[in-house]
Amino acid sequence: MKKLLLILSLSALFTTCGFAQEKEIFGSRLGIGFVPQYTISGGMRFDIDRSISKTSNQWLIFSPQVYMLTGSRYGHEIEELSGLGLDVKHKIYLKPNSMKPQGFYAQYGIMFQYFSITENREYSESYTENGVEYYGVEEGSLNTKLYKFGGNFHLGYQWLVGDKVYFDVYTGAGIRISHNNHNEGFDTWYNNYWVDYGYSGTLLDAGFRVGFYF
Amino acid sequence: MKKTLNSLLFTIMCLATGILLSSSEPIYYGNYSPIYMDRTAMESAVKMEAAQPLRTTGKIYIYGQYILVNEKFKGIHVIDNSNPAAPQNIAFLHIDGCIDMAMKNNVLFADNAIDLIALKTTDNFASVQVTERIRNIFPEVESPDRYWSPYNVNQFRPKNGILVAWKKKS
Repeated sequence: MKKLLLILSLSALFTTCGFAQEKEIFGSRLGIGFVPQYTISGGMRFDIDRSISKTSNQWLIFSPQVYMLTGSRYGHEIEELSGLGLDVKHKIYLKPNSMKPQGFYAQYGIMFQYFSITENREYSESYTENGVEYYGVEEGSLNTKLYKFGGNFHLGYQWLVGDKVYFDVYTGAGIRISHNNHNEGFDTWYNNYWVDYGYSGTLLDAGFRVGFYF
Repeated sequence: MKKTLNSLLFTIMCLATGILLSSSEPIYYGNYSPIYMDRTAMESAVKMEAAQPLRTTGKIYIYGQYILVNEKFKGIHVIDNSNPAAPQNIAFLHIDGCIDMAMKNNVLFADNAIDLIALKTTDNFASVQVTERIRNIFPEVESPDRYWSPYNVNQFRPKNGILVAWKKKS
């Protein structure tokens, strides 16, 4: 761990100071990728990679997402789900003498997701009996709107096949904070697992993506 | 280097497996559902009402000429047994979440969900007054079929809500 932190610190220093040694060049400054594991949640995520420096190997990654789903997922019987999302990350390759987007890297960023979910589910609803207000649990079709914010820090490794195609794996940690339009505070119905649509808390994150530069 | 890569791939595989396993069947909550009340409403709802028919009864307590019969999670029926040949259902003491009671020196002790209350009564149970309340002394009652975990109970709990009863699903 100490070794990794040292490598990260040194790499950041070298990249920001414009290390004098000649760099291995890379022609493309724009890439497009696809992140297959998002289909598990009914989503499609595309990554747009943009080089942000001519002298250091740093990239900005914009990851728009769309979600559409019906059926069973994460313990929910979803009648209809639609959603949008956007991740923005700053990616720094740890090899200082190359502009090629390959090898070990570190990245951090922020994320936002919005979901509209209609589900035949149980929910609490108030009713009055002899002038006294109670809250019972009813079952029926209910639409919930979820707003999820968060941040990530990843370490990963990217391979280049030729100079165009990339294959990228990463893992790291993140935090999520979710709100919904029903109960005050945090949602719990969609907070069953760390992959659930309304998860709040910390998580271990991992994934892979494929794409190409042009 | 190769070892690090292998570790990275192994971690990703474990996490991916976790995601797939979590795509499980919908959660089954059993045959009962919880009923909640706002604390303020629960405290102010303790009062004497007109007699009601006995439906889902619990504990029975004898106090002088009176028989007190618990109506589970709702309150206490007051039955005048001065004529054992013809007992009279004379009043109902509304106490949400009540499943137990005891009485001494005209003071009725009962559970009001998670609170313990003491009520001073008149000799004929014409009126009652809460003289003491010890809050949060009892745990919340579990679901009769024990399908509900505390986590699930909290999923539906309104703000400041207290679980006062379990209702059998129709």
